[in-house]
Amino acid sequence: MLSERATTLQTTNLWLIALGAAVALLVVLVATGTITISQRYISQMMIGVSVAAILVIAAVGLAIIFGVAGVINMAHGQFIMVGAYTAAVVGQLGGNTFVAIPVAFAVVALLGLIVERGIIQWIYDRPLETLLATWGVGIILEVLVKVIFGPELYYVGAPRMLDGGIRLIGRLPYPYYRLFLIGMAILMLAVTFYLVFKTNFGLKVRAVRRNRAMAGSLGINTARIDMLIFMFGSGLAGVAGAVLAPIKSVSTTMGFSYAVDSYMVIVLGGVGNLLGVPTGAFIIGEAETLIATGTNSVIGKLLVFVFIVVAIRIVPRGIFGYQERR
Amino acid sequence: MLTVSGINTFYGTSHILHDVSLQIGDGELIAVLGLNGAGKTTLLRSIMGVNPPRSGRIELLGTDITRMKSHDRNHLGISYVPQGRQIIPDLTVADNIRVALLGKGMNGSQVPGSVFEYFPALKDITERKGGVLSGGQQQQLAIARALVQKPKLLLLDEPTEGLQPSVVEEIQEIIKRIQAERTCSVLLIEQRLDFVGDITQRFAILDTGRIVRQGSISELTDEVIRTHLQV
Ligand SMILES: Nc1ncnc2c1ncn2[C@@H]1O[C@H](COP(=O)(O)OP(=O)(O)O)[C@@H](O)[C@H]1O
Ligand SMILES: [Mg+2]
Repeated sequence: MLSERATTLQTTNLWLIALGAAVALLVVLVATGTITISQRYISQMMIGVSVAAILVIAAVGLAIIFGVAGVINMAHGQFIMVGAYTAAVVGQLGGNTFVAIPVAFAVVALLGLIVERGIIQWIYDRPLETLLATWGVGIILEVLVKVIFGPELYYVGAPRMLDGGIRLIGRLPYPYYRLFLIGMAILMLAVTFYLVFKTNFGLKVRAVRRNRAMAGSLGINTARIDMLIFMFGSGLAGVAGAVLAPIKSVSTTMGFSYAVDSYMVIVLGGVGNLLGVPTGAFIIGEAETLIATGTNSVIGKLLVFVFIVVAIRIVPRGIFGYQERR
Repeated sequence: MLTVSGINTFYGTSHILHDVSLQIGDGELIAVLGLNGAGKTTLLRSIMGVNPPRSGRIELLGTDITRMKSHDRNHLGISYVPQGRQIIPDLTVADNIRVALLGKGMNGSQVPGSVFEYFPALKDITERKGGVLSGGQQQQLAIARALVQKPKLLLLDEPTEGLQPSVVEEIQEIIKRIQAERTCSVLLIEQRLDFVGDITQRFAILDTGRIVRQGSISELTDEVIRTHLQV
């Protein structure tokens, strides 16, 4: 078991080294003028960064629940959707995105608490059942929201101070809201990182994640840790809904594509390490945007899918790996 | 301190412990002996709640803990040093100890200095990851992690297994000290009979999941050893 862990670590390092070498090579080639990157590609890369930011925002809640509690929440997209509807309601009451963020966190964390206490807590160690159960929760949420809010689309505006944008390189304007999303992605990662690595709660979380039985024998209430992590991850999905609402219309089915993107991010990045999320998001975001520049967005998405399928053959557990619940 | 009465423990459908009963008094050390696979580890896991018994009763200081979760048993005063030590490999030595403090609801902001008085070997490696320690260091850490919780009952599962002879002695000294200072009651699983004879008056023998003998060390005759402790 130890040697297996060591191999995972080594493969992870190899991948990081390979990635670093590729980036370094690219930088050298560009700097020496061996290859020239048109301004169009540079601004596309910047857009790629904001696509990656959206992926991080969408995926981080899913990743922490999977990484710690070992549950793949198939209702993740619908949790994001509920966060977006929360933002829509806050908007109608006169609040902007900054108000919607904490409200959506609280609402969806509460939703997560209900789902965890009501269903998941009994079936943690049965992966297939958690998949089916959370999938069912997602369907119920879609129906419920449709009953309450009706079939029409809702639109949530960006806060006024984030209207407009700057001109980076080239002709394309870079909206302030994209910069805000990049900031939010960094903030959500930083808060999660702080919680897991710098607090007493996080120390217990890491012990539980590594050795559930031993953590329990040391006096840690592991069921409570699972519950709190499920709430926290759900709350992050709510935040994702709130900050992503202004870039897309709010509908009951909006969560689907975010969920698919999030699953791709954690499949590629792995959840063995919190860095898996930004790494997976960055690779997918850039690949999608750059390929789409050369071709079109449908082909871009398709090629990214193909790329991920190939990547799973090489790193079956994602770049940073993951651990089964035990 | 601890009263185990007629417990039966299973892994799935395989019946491992059969009507096991055992008592440990305050400050007492009892050695549980038995061949590999006899069910010694399973007995400790039953007491700790990692593998609760399906029937029977376990009492700690008069409280029925048979159905309790591990963490509640720990809070009531049982600390566990499992076989294989089970140090959290990606946490530092200090963090492994802090986890134990926090788990018990104690102040976990730093490792109390008294730990290093007992375990000087840990003093200079507090920032090293648990996974890279030697077997002896891991064992010291595992015992330190249990003792910082100030337990009433300490469960020790083969603490000298797989260690070099010099390190075995260090660990034995620590156990002797716990015993001499009557720090807590101890349930010790041990294969080294000479050490058992040194340290305790009471033993119990598990053979294929049943307690077949228990009593004072003088009753641990060559015949008993031949019948139950030799392959
Ligand atoms: N996780 C498990 N699942 C199934 N059987 C187990 C498990 N752990 C131990 N056993 C079985 O239970 C019996 C007792 O094991 P154990 O308590 O580890 O013995 P000991 O500690 O005395 O060597 C053995 O026959 C072993 O094969
Ligand atoms: Mg054993």
